[in-house]
Amino acid sequence: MALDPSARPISRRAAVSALSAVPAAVALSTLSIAASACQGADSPLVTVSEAGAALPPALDPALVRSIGQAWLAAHPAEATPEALTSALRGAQRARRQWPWQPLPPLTEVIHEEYTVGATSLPDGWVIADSEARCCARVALG
Amino acid sequence: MHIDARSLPNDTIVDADLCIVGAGAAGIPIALAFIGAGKRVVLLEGGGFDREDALQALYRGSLSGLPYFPLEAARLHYFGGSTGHWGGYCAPLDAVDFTTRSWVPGSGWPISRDVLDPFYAKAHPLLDLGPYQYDPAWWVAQDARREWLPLDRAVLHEKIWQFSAPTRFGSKFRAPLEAARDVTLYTYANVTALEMREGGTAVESVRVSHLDGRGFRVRAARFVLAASTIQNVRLLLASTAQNPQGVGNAYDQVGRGFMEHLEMPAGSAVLLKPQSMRLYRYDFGVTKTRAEIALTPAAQERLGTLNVTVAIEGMPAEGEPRTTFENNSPTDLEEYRRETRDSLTSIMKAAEQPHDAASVRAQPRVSLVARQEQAPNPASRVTITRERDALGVPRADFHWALTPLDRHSLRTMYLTLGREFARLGVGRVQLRDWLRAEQADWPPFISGGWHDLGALRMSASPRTGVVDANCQVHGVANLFIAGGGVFATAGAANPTLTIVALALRLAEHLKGR
Repeated sequence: MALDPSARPISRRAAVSALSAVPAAVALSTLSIAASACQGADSPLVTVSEAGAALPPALDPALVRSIGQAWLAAHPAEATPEALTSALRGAQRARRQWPWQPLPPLTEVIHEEYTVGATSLPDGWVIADSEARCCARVALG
Repeated sequence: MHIDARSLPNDTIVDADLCIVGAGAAGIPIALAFIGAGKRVVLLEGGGFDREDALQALYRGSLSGLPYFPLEAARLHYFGGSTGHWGGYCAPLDAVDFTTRSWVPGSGWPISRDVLDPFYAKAHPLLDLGPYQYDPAWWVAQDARREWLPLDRAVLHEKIWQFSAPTRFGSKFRAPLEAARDVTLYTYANVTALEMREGGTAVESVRVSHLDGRGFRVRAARFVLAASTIQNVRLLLASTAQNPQGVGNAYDQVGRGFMEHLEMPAGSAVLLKPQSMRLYRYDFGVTKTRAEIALTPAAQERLGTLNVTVAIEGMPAEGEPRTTFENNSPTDLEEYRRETRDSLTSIMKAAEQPHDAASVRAQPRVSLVARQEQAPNPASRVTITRERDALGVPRADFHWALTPLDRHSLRTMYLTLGREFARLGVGRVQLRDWLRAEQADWPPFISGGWHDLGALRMSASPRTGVVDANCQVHGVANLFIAGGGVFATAGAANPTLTIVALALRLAEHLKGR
């Protein structure tokens, strides 16, 4: 092995610091893997059933479909279950504090969106964006 | 005392201490306040005791702005004035309405709400209203069946309305005025000009004309113009003998800043859970008190809106609710309300029943009817034209104009209500198609509440209005104005109660001079 002639003797402090960084790096790496795993686990397709369960039970099914279709007409890029899932899961992820926490229920996300004013007007209805996507998911079938 | 002015010899001169022009919601309370006051009061009414086509036609005028009601239909030209067809809605203006709001250009009165409070209280018995009490909590405490919607009261709150019978001033106050010894009511007495003293800083007399070409004069120490807003404007602008630009119009303020209330069913809601509507429900001719939902003053400031309320009402069995404009006249509107009352009441009652998810088709849908002030707008104005009426007075042109702030406020209110209804699980709100975009045209059926406000606005300076804090025309020592014309801003309340309160305040001011 060739020695670097410019290398300076390592100080005690630097050595301690370098050693302590190892477990931190390992820990961060583990967290990152865990977060990725969580992300994968967090991203199953939003089913019609899950989307429907996030909507008020008393909401007229015809109205649900009408709102959903209006949303899809305004957002053609979301006209697949996968695209709607991506948006809905993204909204759920954005509302948790730490990546390892479970995703909040869609009902909670929708409530929060009404509180902060994250709404749209599909067919003129004042609807939280995630609720409109749930309507769209139901409309897609 | 009552005199049919047609019986007076031509060119008669009548002398008085006080001459009131117009016997409606503003003029009659002033005359009543002077009964027994030891002054000679003349009350001039252009019409008789009932509607007559030839006299009503004197109010005809042109429209050059947004679509509006025919001017000859919007105000009634006989004793009692437009109280002959009003709906009885009463609420005082809010304290915020009198303040200068940085986000509402031209806002601010030279008086505050507490100045008017004692006169609001005195106006209540004239209008056959309940106690002068507009605290929603007080009304809820009177009836345990009234329940609040669980609104975020930092943003939305309830505003109380009381309902007059509605009191028809022509019926209620004819006898006491005819019996009064110091007040003389002249019917068929249309004022066609103000005759000014030399220099144009005071009124000497008013010229009164009949359709048959004869006429007389009234000389008085003081004059109050209490005809409707547009007729008061006509009179001031047409009286050019001493003041070529019209009386009180040194700064081109007469006629500017005309305001209406935007009373429009601009949205609706489906209700998703049982909710008592007793506090909010209105049955025409039955309800004495109800609440509408309003933006709080803090929310108005934060959201940059005008004052606006929304009434929860039932939906007609078929189609969207109509606006007052689509009904053409208040009489039609009353008929419409009667026709739909039963169905509306049943819908509102349905809102209080438990919903069965399996029968969601039956979920109640309610109409959300806005009542919003119009931003003071100099371009919204009344002028006079070259065409003259049968008495030779130039006819009015009304140019109704709105601003982006009016639209922003209306839309913001419905968005706010929609989010709040949904957050609480109360229901979901739908905006009418013309309100969905922030920038869009007004619909063809935009409508007001048949309220003629502003155009003779109260202001501290003659450069920004027509009358001072005492309703005296700027620069004219003995001329005062009563009525909705002096409103500096319109508030989100029907104006009759405030018109009467301002008239009573003016009467007290005049008696003290």
